[in-house]
Amino acid sequence: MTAPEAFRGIEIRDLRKSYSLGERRVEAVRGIDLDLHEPGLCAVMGPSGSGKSTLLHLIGGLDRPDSGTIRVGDARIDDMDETGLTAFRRRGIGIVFQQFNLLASMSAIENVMLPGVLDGGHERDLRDRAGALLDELGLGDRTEHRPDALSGGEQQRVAIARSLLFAPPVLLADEPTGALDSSASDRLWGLLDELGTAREVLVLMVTHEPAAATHCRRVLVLQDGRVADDFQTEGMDESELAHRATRPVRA
Amino acid sequence: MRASWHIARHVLSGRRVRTTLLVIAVAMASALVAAVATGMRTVQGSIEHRISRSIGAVDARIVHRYGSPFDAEVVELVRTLPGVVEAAPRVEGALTLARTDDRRDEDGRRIRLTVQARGVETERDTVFEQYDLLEGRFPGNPAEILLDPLTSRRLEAGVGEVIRVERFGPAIDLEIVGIRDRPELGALQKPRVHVDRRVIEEASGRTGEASVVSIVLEDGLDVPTWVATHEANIETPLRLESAERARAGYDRQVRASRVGFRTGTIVAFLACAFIVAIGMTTAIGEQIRQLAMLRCIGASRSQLAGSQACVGLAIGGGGGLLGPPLGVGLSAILAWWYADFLPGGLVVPPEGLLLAFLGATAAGLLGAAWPAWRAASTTPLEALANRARPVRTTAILGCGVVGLVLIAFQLLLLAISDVDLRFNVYAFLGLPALHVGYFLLAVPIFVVVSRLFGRLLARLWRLPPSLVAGNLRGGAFRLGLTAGALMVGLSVLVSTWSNGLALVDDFGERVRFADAFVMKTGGLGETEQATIAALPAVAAASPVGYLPLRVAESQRLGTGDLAPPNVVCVGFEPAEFLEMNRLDWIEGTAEAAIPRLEEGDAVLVAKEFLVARDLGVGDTIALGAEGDETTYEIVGVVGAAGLDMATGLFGIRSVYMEHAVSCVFMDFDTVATRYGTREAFIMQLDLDLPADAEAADAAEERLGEVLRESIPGAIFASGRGIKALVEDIGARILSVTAAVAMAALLLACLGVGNVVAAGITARGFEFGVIRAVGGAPEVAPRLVLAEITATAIAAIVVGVGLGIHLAWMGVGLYRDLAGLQLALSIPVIPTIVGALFVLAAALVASLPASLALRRRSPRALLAGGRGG
Ligand SMILES: Nc1ncnc2c1ncn2[C@@H]1O[C@H](COP(=O)(O)OP(=O)(O)O)[C@@H](O)[C@H]1O
Ligand SMILES: [Mg+2]
Repeated sequence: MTAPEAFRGIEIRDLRKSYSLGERRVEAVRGIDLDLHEPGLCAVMGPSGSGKSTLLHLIGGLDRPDSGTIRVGDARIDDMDETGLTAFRRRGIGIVFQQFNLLASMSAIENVMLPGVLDGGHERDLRDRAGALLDELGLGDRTEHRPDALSGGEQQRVAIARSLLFAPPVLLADEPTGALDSSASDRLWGLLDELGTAREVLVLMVTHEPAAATHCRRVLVLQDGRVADDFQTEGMDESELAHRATRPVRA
Repeated sequence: MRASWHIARHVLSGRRVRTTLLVIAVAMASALVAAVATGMRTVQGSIEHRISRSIGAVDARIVHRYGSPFDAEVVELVRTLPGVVEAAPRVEGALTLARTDDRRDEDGRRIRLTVQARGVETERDTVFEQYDLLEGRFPGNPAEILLDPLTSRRLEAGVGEVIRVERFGPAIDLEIVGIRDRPELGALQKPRVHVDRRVIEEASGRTGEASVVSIVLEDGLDVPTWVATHEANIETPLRLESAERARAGYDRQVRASRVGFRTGTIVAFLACAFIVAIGMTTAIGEQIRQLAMLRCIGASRSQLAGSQACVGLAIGGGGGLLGPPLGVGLSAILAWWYADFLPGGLVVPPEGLLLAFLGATAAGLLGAAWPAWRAASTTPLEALANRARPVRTTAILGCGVVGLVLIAFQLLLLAISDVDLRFNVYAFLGLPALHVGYFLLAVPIFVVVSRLFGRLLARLWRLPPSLVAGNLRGGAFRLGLTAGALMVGLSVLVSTWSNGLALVDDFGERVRFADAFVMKTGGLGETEQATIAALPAVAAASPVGYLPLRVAESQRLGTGDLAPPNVVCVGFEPAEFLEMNRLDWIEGTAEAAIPRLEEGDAVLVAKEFLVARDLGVGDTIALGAEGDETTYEIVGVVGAAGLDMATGLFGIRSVYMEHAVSCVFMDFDTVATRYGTREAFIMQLDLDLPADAEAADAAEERLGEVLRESIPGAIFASGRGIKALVEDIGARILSVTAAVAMAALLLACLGVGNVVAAGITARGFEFGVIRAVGGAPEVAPRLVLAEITATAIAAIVVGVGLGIHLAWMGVGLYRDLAGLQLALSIPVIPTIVGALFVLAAALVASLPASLALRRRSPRALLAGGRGG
């Protein structure tokens, strides 16, 4: 398990990934270098199709790069075998999606426990840990609810709790607020940042909402599969942030 | 494993309705296998039972060439021959039975009766037990006797009473222990009883003699071949011959019914596998997404595979456990309903039940493995991506091509020349290939059907045509393969019915002989023949003459003194005779032989003739008085199974058949011109009788009376009784087979219906979208019904196709394995009924689920449908 004190974040060198769509090749990520070593919320922004999701998937070990290296925590995942990747996805990283997040047949707490169950953990232990996490995320009174009885924001919080079960150093979230209204979104961003700082977790979040930037420490802007901009938010006001995060970048 | 089971449990309990529907579907599919196996086995058992009871269980026998009794010692030799299960000497003799009391008949005479008695070794006779008993049991020792109804009636004696065998010397008293069932066939029938051999020996004073040695062979031996192999071991004047059962080809019928059982069970097994596999993969997209999500949070491939295996085991195994009792229960109900038709009773084949359970479980595992494999073999991400992939035309065409290739492959397998190998390859490779082939073919056929019927369906269900067309196009694979699963019930129905029908036709055809016979000692002259032909109700009359002729000296050489110097020349009118009787042509053909016979220089011989004198088609035989011989060419060697049976049952076999060894069949007119006689020994009649059985009996009775009045001394014998007996067996086979086929269809439809319903519950999201964009509540259910209608039509098309294909294969199988030449006839009305049933069943099965869609709010549909 990754010890928080040895936190090393994400380190990416010359990462490339392309897809072939019939005849056409789409270069989704074309040479990205990144060093993300500070815990807290970090946003990945950029126009649609700029490679944000692809980047996240590569970091999460959900997909394999064509070339380049990826380190997450103390794991080098670009050349890991499938067994290693499975273990990595289970314990080395947390992932939250926009949708398809929870198993409809399981209660909130069972969903949170799931990675532990997959890991062969002890049910009672897991239940305690999952309960504590849900408490921490403000869902203490919702543990036995099924997903269809929870609001969108609550569902996302359950998903976040689940991704934190093994206290991974990195949490990835792809448009986690895409299906939420603005106030729920705002609360979720706040929560992610708090979690990041309190638990020393790097939360890498894809979003296309400029408003999210105010909660972030750092913003990466992708365009055409490259990092077009990368800045710390400290000291910027809201309109400045929104402007910088959304303006077209010249190549 | 624990984790796998944990996931599986949630997958199962998360969608209780769907899980329940799937378990029911699997149970139905597995019940289908159990019901077909049990049903077919029961029918088979009853066929065997009926055949052995009405035609005898004896496969072969040893007789004396000229019917004399012989030394029973030969049985020891027979028992040493390979393939013999049991051999026992029987002695025939006449016994005079009398009541022990003083009861008299109407004319004041003491009641006594001379009967034909068969003496058997009572201790070892169980294998030969060939009669159904009306009451009581078989004799177990020399102090007991079994009567037939005729004897019982004439002696006015029943079970428990004692009767006396009269003879010179002290009388023998015997206790009546049973009455056998025996059809009463009219005036010519002789009373028969069944006693221990020792009774006849004691009565006649001669011991150690046999009239016949009856032989039962191991199951599955080809009797004629066995006889041909071993006849050399039996020394003349004894002769080894096959019994009626083999001669009339009923041993083949028995083998055929076994072939039917085996293929029927395999086909049902395949049907079950399809239904289960289709059920397990309903809403496959959703299943894959769920599994992919698990992969993203760290589930390993083996955990996914394990969880799906658990799901498959739970649904497949659960259904597989519920199904067989259900299927057997259904068969038991059928067996109870048709109890009169099924004297063999319900027979439950353990291998069928095992197959039902294994089939369901294995198909469940396979069906569950497919989405797991898809989810595990793509990256989690690809699986997770919710890209609605349009159905590609090439994929549909590809599906059709693979289907055709598989069907062609099956046809190619027919080229295997070894019969047994061909059957096994067909059963284990050909049948599955054929089914998968038609299954895949269902997809392009579904597409064609939706093109052709799309507009009509839209109008029928009052939906916008574009919506229906789009929906059908999008569901080409899902619905096409569902049609593939739905087809199996219909194909089972069409093929079993068709083969059953052909089998029954064949069954009846074997005993085609005249409706009635008229005989008179001393013969029937020309005027009498004309009188008979002119009697009311006589549709046709064909004379058969009977003239002893001398065989030329030169021709007796070689066969020496063994063959009698005379032959009986049977004169008959070839065309008329063949109308009434079925002849089995062992050599030669009717087409070639009839003109030659009418020309007058040719004869037919019985097949026994061929055996005894070693003369066949192309050989000549010289017949006639010394110095005035005519040479005839043999243009055909024939057997008349039906006639064998009829004459045997009438007790006139002695006249008719036992001389077959020395019979030549000659044109009636040739006999008249060459030998100057138009006398008939027997007249064969075709009668025009009312359809109603009682009226027909009365009409026959009247005919008999008129006949006896107009021709004193003539004896009238009806053949209808025997024919009715055989037809009855046929009708039973057919009706039970049909019931089994219908039950199979019902179970298959119920099974697929549940799959369809499960599919609908899984598609809530899609319908939610339709509602969300302004579709009326009834649009979704109507759309489902339109889909199902198209699916059912496609299923009917492929199902009938596969059914005909299977029936056609069946014809080949019966030919290869049972030596039966069946016709391929398609039962039109049952097929139409079955087709309508498929349509109705599919619609009815989908109705509850589609109506439930109507009741749910769009929000509920959207929320519940897709997320997980
Ligand atoms: N599985 C895939 N197959 C083919 N092309 C893909 C696939 N995934 C992403 N792409 C393409 O790669 C590019 C980047 O996609 P993505 O990373 O999803 O963009 P973003 O998340 O920034 O909108 C897009 O042009 C997209 O169409
Ligand atoms: Mg994206």
